[in-house]
Amino acid sequence: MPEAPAPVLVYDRVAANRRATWRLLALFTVLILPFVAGFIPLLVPAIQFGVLLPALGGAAFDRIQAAGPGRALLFAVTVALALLAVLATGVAVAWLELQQATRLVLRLTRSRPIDREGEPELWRSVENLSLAAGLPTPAVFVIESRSPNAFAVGLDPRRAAVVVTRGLLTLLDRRGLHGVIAHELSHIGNQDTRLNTVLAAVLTVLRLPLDLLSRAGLPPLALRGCLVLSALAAVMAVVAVLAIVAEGALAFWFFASEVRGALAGTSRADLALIAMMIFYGPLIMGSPFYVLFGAQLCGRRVRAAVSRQREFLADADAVLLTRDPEGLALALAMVGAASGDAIRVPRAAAHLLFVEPASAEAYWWDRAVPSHPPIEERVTLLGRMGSGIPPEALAAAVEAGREFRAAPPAAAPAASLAARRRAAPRQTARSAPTPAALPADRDGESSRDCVAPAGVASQIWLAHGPIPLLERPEAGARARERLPAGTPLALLGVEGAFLRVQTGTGTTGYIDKATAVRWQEPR
Amino acid sequence: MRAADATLGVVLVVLVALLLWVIVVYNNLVRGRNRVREAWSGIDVQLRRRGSLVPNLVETVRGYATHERGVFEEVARARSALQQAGGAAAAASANTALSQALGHLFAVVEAYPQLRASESFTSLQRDLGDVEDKIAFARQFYNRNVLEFNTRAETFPGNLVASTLGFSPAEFFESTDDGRAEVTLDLSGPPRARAPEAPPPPSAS
Repeated sequence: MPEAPAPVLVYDRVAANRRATWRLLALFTVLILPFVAGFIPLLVPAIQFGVLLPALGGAAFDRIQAAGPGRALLFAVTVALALLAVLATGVAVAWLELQQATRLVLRLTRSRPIDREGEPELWRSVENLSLAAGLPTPAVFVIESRSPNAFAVGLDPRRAAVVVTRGLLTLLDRRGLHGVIAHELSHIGNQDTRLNTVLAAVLTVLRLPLDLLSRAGLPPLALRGCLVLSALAAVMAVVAVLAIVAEGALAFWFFASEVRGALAGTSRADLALIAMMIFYGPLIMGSPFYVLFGAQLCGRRVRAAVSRQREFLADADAVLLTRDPEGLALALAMVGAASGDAIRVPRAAAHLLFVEPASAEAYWWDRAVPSHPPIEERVTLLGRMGSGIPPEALAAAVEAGREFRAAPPAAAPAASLAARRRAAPRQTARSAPTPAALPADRDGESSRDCVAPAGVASQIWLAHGPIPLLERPEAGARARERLPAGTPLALLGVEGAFLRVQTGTGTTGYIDKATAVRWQEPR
Repeated sequence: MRAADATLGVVLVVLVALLLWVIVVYNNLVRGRNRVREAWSGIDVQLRRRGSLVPNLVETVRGYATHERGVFEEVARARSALQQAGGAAAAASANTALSQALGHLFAVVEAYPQLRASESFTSLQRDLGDVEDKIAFARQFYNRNVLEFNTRAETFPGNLVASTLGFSPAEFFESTDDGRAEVTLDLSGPPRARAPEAPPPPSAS
């Protein structure tokens, strides 16, 4: 687990990820094998009577069945055919998924491609950060959803895409946005996207039966009933197998000669029938549970373990790009608190997202195995990378996120911000006698509103620091100096997302609006 | 005879192992060098873009401020120095010098409010700012690669192979002359009558 961002190049991560991908595929093959086995009892009769009978003709079929060794051969051929059919379907679906995954995910989430003119700031952030990451600039998409989230897709960096929601663009300032985009770019650079796409493809296959069942319009109660019944059947199957084995062993142990005599008395055909019943009975009883729930639960456990590691790595690499652990941590806290309604993402692809897509509609078995590590843990780790995150800033971020979530979707956030912005100067003017101290615990929102009327220099203080005093009102501009917390500043004006300020020594510069400041009455 | 054969065998095995190790180290070094070159091209593109924006800017300013020849010449000199600079460190210094010259140019612009408000000037200024951002971001990637390559080429025992096979450490993209203070630009200050040599305010980055 990364504790501090060591200068690790993406190339090493890519190599490690490639190995992880292969291991993962091997693991999933093992997982799918019983899945396939579960299908065989259903497929064998179908193939025997649906494929072989018409293909060989009734007379030939009868002749084969009549011969003793012929019957075993027929059975072997049937099972092999069934295996092949299941495997071919699985591979075909997985391959299609892989090839179409990017387009599919983009279409399912209703992502809209944007260009430089459409969202200049977002575009520039992506462009600049991919330069720093040494990646080709990915395509940029926006989802018109209020739920703040982001993800990256694509099998390789050249065909990758970064997707953000409208909610994310509204909620986060430039600093947070940089953090999130750097996180997503790190996913692309580490080729997590490929690993994730493979994961998503395999999980889709594993989930197919349950998804078909739930899409058929069955109510959750019926699904739960299915689960309980199939689980009961599986338990009974296990018990039955144990009982048969134990009984057989006991019989042989105590009544060896009688058993041998009885066996000699029964015909071969009957013996085969008994053996088949013993073999198929538990399999048929147990397979529904595994096919419907068992396989995908195992798959999701694996995914949770893998994507957990990937998320931590992407956070660490994002910090390497932005050199701003606090920015990403605050963005995480804010987005975590704000993510309310889920964006439309297939559950098999949930691990692609920046934060876990929370949803009240999600089935409880999806909530039981989350695809992401808890946000608190990620924030704590990020805090350890830098100089620590002030708790009040964190609380403010969470509060801002909650506020965003609580705001009714009908009220456009931009409009409400503008309204508050209009109110802000009046408020500061009226509250002149008493210092209108801006609560520092809402820095994400409140400092955005603290817009002084042009020409009125008012005194502000930095609530925390050190904060760079920038030369130009742009993120990434050179810093003239670093201002410690509590520095008094004269507010000269506002330019875009920045405040133009003057220090006590007469240096003027720009500070990010998202930086928490405290007010004093106008001089 | 037997003992001699065994010794020969051991020597041969050791030699082959050594050769294999040298091959691996060499390949790693080549890979690292190629990555540094690729990363450099990222900076180079942006430096060229910056160089190509400068003449347009000078032309635009010249349309309003005809008699500021000294500043124009300084910018032109800095630009050609940047285009001729060989090596990362030299390019970084030339780039800083160009920033300085452009700072002087912008200080001149302060005196011409019409120019400051003109569409072409603001768009050029925005483009220049964008390029400067991109240089900073590309520099980050380049320097990280240089660090990786140099570590590989300078640590023992890789340095034995590196020095014999002629791998020299790559240069960081860093301006080496600290003596020159960065000229900062205050566009929003009161228009001054003429500020050809604005005294650089104390800066700390």
